[in-house]
Amino acid sequence: MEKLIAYAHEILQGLGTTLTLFIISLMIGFVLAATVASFQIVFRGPVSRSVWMAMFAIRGVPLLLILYVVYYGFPLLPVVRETFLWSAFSSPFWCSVMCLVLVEVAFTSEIMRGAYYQTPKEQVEAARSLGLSRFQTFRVAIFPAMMRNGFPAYTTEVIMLCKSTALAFTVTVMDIMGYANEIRARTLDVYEPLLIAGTIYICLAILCRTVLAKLFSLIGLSAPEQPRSRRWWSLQTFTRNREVRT
Amino acid sequence: MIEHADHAAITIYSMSKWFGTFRVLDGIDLTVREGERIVVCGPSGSGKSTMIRCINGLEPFNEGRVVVNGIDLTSKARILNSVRRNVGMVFQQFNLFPHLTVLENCTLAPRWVHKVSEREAERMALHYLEKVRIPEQADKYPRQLSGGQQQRVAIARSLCVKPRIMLFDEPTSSLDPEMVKEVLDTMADLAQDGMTIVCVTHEMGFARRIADRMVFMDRGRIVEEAPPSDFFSAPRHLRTQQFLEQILN
Repeated sequence: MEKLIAYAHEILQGLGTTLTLFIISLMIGFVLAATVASFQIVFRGPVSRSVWMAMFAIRGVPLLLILYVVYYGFPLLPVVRETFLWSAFSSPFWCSVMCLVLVEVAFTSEIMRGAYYQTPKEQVEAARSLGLSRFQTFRVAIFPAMMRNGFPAYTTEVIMLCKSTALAFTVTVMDIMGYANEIRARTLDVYEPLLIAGTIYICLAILCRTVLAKLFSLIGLSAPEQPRSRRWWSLQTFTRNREVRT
Repeated sequence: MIEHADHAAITIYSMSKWFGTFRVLDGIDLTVREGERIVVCGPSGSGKSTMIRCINGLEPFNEGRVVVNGIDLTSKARILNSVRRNVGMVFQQFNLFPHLTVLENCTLAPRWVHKVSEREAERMALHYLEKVRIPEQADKYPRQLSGGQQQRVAIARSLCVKPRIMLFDEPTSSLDPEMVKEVLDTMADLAQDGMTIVCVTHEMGFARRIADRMVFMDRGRIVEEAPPSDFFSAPRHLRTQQFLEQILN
């Protein structure tokens, strides 16, 4: 037990790094994803299609591979080695951020695009028929529908991102996984450090879900229903019934 | 230039529309006077919904002209919006905004489009909610209401922009039978008040009650136009007769 506590103390030193990695990539990723998604929605043509294909390529290869390309591959280029870029690419932390952002953008932009195209056209027509402008229509009909449609998938994506930060330890970033692995290598205790790391990641996942659910209900786009018993771990908190069509 | 009919709310001149190679509307000519109540009927796929959706520009048309309240309809967003400010539309599926309360649904357009103050918009919304007889539901969300109540809210929402014309696109088709009446009664009230109404519906009893003129459409054309008394007792066209036989029995 004492050993566990000692290990936990050591591993928790990595929590800050994990959280910074996670939050920075989440925020930059979200902004860029929104940009990429709106670009694809607004412009349709060869450029937009190639953006989609690039995003697909990123989604299609392992995160670890991208990380290796960014960390081991890019520094081979003189452009990177000999310019200001080197200050970013020489840091394993920022390499991990870049790679996580890239993957986050690829997945999230697709979630946003999907959510946009799932907007019921009746909602848009209702807004248009009231004489609302394009922007007002987006605000009252499209955006709320996107939130309702995209929210469950986005929550999953955020949790995936949170866990993906663990890969950063393969390029020497000392995050939670990094410390856990260090203990394992040093002491040959396998279960204890991994158990602690696992527990921390699960707690983070629960935290993500709770925070996002709170956020979602706060902005009031969730089409409230009659009160029903809702526990924080019940799946129904997220998969709200779609409007019933007759 | 075609002579513009006096006091015409809507004038449609030989309007045609294609979906790909399929001709949904085939030379539609129709004039609706101010305060007139028109019921459009016809078999499914005859283009009746498409026609009334063209009147407020939800669907573009390919040929002909549509003049609404003296404004020539084009695809320009500004013109469309000014037409839509005077034309209310009620859909088959209600299409209320699910994340807004009944009151918010109703005050939205007055506040955003007509720049009415919040208090004034709410006063107006409550007035129209009373008119459709559900002021007590103002703070509920659409999902908490029955289909009939939702449709009445949708009617109130359209009325809040103070339209001169109301379009109804099969407003009772997705309702349970016992809720049809409450919606039809609400619409009949509107008709009493002298609103110009164009309504696509299969409720023939209702049509008989409120319509000044029946319009029967088939395969993208207007086959027959007549006052309800003539229309139901002595339809002139074979196709109308067949349709009425089907629907009345």
